[in-house]
Amino acid sequence: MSQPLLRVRGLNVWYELRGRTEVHAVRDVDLDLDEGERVGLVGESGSGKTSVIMALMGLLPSTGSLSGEVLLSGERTLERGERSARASRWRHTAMVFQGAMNALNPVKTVGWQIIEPMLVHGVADKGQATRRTHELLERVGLPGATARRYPHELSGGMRQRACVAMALACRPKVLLADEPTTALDVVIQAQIIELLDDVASELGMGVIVVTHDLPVVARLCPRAAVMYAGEVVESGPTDALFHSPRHPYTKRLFEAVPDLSLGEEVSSIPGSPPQLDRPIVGCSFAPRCDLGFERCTVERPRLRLVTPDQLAACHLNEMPSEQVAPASSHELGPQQSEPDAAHATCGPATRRDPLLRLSEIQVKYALRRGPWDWLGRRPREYVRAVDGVSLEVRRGEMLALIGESGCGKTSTAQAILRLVEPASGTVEFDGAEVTRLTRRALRPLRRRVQMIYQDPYDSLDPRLNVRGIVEDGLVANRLGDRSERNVRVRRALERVELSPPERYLERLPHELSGGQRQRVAIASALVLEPELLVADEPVSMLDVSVRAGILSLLSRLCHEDGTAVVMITHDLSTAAHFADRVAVMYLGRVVEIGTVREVIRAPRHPYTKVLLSAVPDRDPCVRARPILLGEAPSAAMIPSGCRFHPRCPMAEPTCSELDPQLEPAKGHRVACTLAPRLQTAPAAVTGAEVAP
Amino acid sequence: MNRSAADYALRRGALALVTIFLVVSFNFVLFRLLPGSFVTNLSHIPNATPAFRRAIAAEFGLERSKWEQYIIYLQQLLHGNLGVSYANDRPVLSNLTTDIANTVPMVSLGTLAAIVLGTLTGVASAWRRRTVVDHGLTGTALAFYSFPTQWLGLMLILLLGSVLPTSGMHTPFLIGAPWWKSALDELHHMILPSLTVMLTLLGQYTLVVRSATLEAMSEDYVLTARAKGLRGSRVLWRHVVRNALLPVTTLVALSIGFIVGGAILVETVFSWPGIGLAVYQAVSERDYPMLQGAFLLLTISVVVCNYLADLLYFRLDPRVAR
Repeated sequence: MSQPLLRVRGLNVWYELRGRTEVHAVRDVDLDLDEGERVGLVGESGSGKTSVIMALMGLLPSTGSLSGEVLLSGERTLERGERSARASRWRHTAMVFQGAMNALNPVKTVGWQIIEPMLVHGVADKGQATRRTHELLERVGLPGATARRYPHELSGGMRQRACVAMALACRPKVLLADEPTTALDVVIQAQIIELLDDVASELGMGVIVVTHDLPVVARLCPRAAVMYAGEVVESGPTDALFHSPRHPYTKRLFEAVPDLSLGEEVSSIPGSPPQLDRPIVGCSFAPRCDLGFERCTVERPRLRLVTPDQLAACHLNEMPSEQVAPASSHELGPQQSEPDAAHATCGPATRRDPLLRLSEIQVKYALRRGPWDWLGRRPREYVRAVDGVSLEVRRGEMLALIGESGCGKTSTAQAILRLVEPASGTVEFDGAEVTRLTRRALRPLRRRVQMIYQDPYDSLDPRLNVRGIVEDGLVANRLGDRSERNVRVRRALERVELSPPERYLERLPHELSGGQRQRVAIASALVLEPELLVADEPVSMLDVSVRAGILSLLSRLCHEDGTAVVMITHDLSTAAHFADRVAVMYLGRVVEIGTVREVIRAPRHPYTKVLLSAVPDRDPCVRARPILLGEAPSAAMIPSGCRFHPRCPMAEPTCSELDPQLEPAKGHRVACTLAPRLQTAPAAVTGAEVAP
Repeated sequence: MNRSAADYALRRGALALVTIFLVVSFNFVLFRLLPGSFVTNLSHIPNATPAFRRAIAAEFGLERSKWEQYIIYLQQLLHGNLGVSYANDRPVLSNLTTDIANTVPMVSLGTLAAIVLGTLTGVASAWRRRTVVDHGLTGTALAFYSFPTQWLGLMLILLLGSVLPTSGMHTPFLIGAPWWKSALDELHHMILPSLTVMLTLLGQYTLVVRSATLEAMSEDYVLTARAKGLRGSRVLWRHVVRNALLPVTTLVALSIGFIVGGAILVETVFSWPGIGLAVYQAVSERDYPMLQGAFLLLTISVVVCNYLADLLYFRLDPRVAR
């Protein structure tokens, strides 16, 4: 191949901020993409990866300016005028946007939006375009009739499929996928990955996948480039990046991502990326790198060939000896967490009495329908969000509640604190029956149970400084005088590793990074010395490199201080790494519960097996074929019998009649009538194969 | 889809009817809460005997229980009887009909002009945000928004009084002219008051449409539209404006509903014999039945317009269907 499909040389992007500061968002990026090739562009927020593809589309905001050279099929694209750039958009380079985004216009039908670019670019007349829309929708696994539906009538996964269909409308040569699976459920994520994989190989397009999610790249892209602080720090074959990274950032980034292989250590990267509004002297990663030496702070390393097919920008590669350790050794700094060691010293066995016991909890939300219901009659229909959940949590134990969105995990957690009233069932906390308490009696109890929320950008009052935020709980509960509160606040900040506390006390939330904010949120819970922490997706809004730090902090609080933690997550890898026990929820029920090892290593419920198979591995050599399922039904229409049977790959006729209950025994329990038989052949469902 | 549309219309309609009923009842209670009854007012003449008071009370039906009065009030209302004006002894309804017929053309002209112009300026200033166009348009809109209406009216009279008629709605000497001539004459009289109405409403529309448009412009689907390679104008009208105007519908409905309420200040300044002027006079003469009637019509009109806006919203925004 003499000439690549897309060739980017020396791309730079600047954004002008108010007050005449300039942010140098992309620095000297080179990128090549051949026909039919797939390249991953990996980086955390602010690494410049989105700016790169926006520059390729010619869609930088008006404050942006750029330099460099972009050749698409040998044709320069940056120099052409808006008119010809416009004609090329979608026709030659189409995009799939982030799954969570509102990429579809809410007031137009899906079909209208797929047809629109074909008509605008004149690739088809109206009749052809309509027919092609049907074909495209069917190609991405949606019924052709979806064309007449509006975006809000589709589920998240269906919308993302429709977006893929829309991107294919004009048969583009290059497909840019910007975080295509972010914020989708694991099962849906796996489906979209498979779909992109199929479509890209079938149509022979060049695909650039932009993501912070390494397993997605490992699964989809044979080649990848890692971006940090606006520059490509390493690029090459994905498995080389994973197995023999030649830049410390790549290595640390892979190590920060948990996956299902238990026991491998996960560590976060200390510090935060540099500010891009001032010139960077030396290597941009040097302040966070523990292998750096003098030259790193003075001279900027250039991207250079370190192996026949791997490029890296790191001075260490010019050192004679093996300074950059291969991934197999784990001799890196002190930041590593050691969940397994902690498990061994004070596991769940040491503290016997359950601190929290839920029995047969039900949470219902009213559905109002029909013309007269608004008159205030009792609603006839309910959504049973939680339908008979029983759980126990001991002191010093971390329980992970896992499930797809809508499975009732958040409602269960809220029922613990009676933030939603359970319709039936009991909650016992430290021997007291929470469900019987009056509102007044509930207050002292709420102090002992604290919540940590998903989004540290929303959960902190932007007008309070750190001291005010952390102190708030003490003030509200009238605990301590001013000086004692001061002491407690400092201690809480130290416990979440924001030290020295003086550096943080007077800061406002917007002056902190995402990870620091979440630490402040945890500190404001810890200051009340709770016995139970309920963490609702505590890291899903954070950057990959800081996630592990927050999770190991929670794990330490749990195992060293004896705080019980209930962690809600949709991310099985996270649960596998940090929790002691796992409860898998499906449509308001717990379908499997047990220790992490039992559930992850030897899952017994078909649903757990499906979930596990859907998790992509961070190691590109492990290519498990996920089991594909339809989407989760709504909790308003719970199927008869086993609620999983319509999606279950193993379902038998009796499954639609028998409603299996969780086995009454202790330990690893499962709610599936087939489980005793399936156990004899555990490998039947999860067919993980290791590629040679 | 169709069933849910009918459901929706029915539900909203029922809600509107309930609102109107509550307003009607509130109207009844309100005017009975005023200190003193109508009888004390009338029998304030010296030497009024208790017998005289009773006679008056009996004549107006005030000796009956409040419930009976309420029922009668409702019955009469259903027959379109709004009572009799104290000021000119004519039925309130016929008074109001004349006034409304005078008001509606003038205020509608101003309101509709404000809606159209305000939408255009709002969209334009959002699309060209932080440019001279934006600053100029929003600045002008804000200035007119903050002027007191009567002052604005007076300034217009000073400025344009020499070329345009400044009071009343007809030239008094135009008698026996063909219909089109008097229509033209009325239109001519309408210009200044309508202009005032428009200018006072304009700012509100410019600002609301501008912020709605800016919000829609930052939506992800607008980025999709641009990525599709659409022309700027197509992105603006098909994707941005279509969504930005959804929240504006409610504001439009409210303004249209208030047309029936007239424009008290404008009508007073320009001596326009409309409902605003009538209300102003009714207040100064304590003409309660007139006030009650005007109040009732205004609320019904606002409720009905809101109902229509809800139905329109249903058509415009597919998400409301559920």
